[in-house]
Amino acid sequence: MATIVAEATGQAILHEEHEQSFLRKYIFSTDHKVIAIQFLIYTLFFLMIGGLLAMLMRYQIAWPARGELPLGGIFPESMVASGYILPEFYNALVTMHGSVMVFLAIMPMLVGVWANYLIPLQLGTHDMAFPRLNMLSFWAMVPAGILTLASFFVVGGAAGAGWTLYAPLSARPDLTGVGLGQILWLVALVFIGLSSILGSVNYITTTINMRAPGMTWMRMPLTIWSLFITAILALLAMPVLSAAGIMLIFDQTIGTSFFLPEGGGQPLLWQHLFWFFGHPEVYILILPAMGFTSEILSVGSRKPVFGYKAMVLALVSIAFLGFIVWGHHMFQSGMNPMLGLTFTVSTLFIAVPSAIKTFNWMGTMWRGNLQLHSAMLFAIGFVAMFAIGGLSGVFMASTPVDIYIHDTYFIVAHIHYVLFGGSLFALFGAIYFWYPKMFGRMMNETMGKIHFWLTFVFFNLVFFPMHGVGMVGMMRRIYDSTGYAHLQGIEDTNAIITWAAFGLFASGFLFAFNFFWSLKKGRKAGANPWNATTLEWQTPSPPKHGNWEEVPVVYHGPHEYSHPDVEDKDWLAQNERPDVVSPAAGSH
Amino acid sequence: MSEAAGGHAAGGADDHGHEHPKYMLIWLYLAILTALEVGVVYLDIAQWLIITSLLIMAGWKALLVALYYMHLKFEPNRLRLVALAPLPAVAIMIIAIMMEYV
Repeated sequence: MATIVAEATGQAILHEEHEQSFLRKYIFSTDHKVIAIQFLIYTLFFLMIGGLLAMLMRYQIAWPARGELPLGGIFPESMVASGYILPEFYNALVTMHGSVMVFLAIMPMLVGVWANYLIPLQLGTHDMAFPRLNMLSFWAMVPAGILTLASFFVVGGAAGAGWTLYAPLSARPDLTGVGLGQILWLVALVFIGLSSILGSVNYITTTINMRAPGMTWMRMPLTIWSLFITAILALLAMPVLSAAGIMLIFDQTIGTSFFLPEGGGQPLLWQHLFWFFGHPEVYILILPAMGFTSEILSVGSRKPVFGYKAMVLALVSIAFLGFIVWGHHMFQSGMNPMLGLTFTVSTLFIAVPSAIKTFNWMGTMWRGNLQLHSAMLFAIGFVAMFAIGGLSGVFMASTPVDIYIHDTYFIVAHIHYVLFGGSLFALFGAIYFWYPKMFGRMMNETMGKIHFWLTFVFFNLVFFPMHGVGMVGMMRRIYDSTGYAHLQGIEDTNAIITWAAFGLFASGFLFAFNFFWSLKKGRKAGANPWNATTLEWQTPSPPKHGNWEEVPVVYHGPHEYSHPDVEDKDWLAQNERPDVVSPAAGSH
Repeated sequence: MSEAAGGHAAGGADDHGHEHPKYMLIWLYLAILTALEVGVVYLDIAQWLIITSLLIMAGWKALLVALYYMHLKFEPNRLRLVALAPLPAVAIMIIAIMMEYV
């Protein structure tokens, strides 16, 4: 039934394509591919903004007494005065770097871009279940972005209470000196929540109802599995943040005191609500990356994913466990020890499915015919960096260790190994991998490889030493560390980190150049430049509006590489009819 | 094109063979309940009574939203089960937060 509806819808889409105006085709488009590209441009822009904020922050950390901020004159006096980054602006830098990167760059890039682009294509359907909701989910992000940028220029500057928005710091303007900026960011957050919820409903419905004939659950590519599970997480977690955010706005504006102790409120309630959202959010930020990695490793190794079912089960169990571990962010809050123990144990459990995935990725590559193109390099980089980030996570799952390293640069190192070395590496890989499908041209390989190696080296130079300065006790949001006796002697390390961070930021521009240069000058890509098996590669690059003339029929699992029964090539597309290839090949 | 695509999706939702719930009426119902919630706070009665009545009214409102705006009144049981599925997560959250204060 769903297929018949999808078929009729698709015919209508294909038929009416030529009648679209520019505005309907490129701006207020309901085509999932155009919306994905809108999200991509949007998130790349905010990735740059987030990076810029980090560079300013790193300058201050390395040379707190120097002043002389290069181009410091272009900033208003309320941010940078005679070459010195002001403490209030520094608070805004740390807060908005985290907020922008998590909510406006990485999360919408993982989900907004790739769930939109890949779900209909990889499932073999014409578009999303609710194309107009889909359009709204992008356009809800636009006011969020504008409010965020605007908040830097209002009286008091942008939000300065940390990306975790802990109350009462975030609830009382007199504590940070930030009033309107904080409210603007919270309103932006409500828009982001709306966008995320609308998107998630769409992804879940499409995955359940609109799969092509033969696309059983266990034939879905792991990318789709990961995006599907992520959508469920987002649907359950984002409303909690939105509700808590609205309560915080009320505390700021209409005199309630949900989180203010003087009015009978509970600051700890904020921490519980935030992290009840926040920990599933961590998995929202990593599960899609795991999906892309599985797919790219399989294509680049010319082997099926090792342990497909275990990979699916690991995704599901990480998602489930993600909802019962939030308290491990709050070991310092003096919580009930029984509760702390529960959170320690449940957190340690997550190491099991994570390790299953890591070993399966290695199993996928083991004795494969490795093809080390840029996408593959980033996918391998993901596995290595995720292993480091995952292992440091095990440290802080344990209450006694966490109490020592809580709120230090060790935590900063951990989050960046998972979020940059993990999510962003996988995202770079995904962009190199699916770019030819999106734009019909390949990205330049030489530039891609240089980008990978620069990113890999600078990334480790930036974030590995942070474990060290964290163990020494350097606090995560410190404005000037030079005045503390226990932090003497780490100035050089901080300067090296900052220089490496500049290198990391600069290497991003190589990527940006490659991205835009390849749009015009890249080598033309055929329908299937990687000889990949999944459905999106069985339609032209870029696919037309509506994706398919005829809905494909699926006969095989998603990663049939080096199939023993296929002689003339090392891959078997999901929609290749078994009797055309060989009788045995279809028996999967 | 999108009109056709969107129209189809909307058309599908209309095929359940029931009348549209009176959304504005439900909205009015919710608004009245909210007014009552605000009013109860100003009554000179025991605090436990205020809290209990607030919880009951909040639950009532949630039920109205679920039944009419989320359409659950007109859906098969398996779909209602999907809507109930996250409740254990809510229970876990509330129990854990309560443990902080006992």
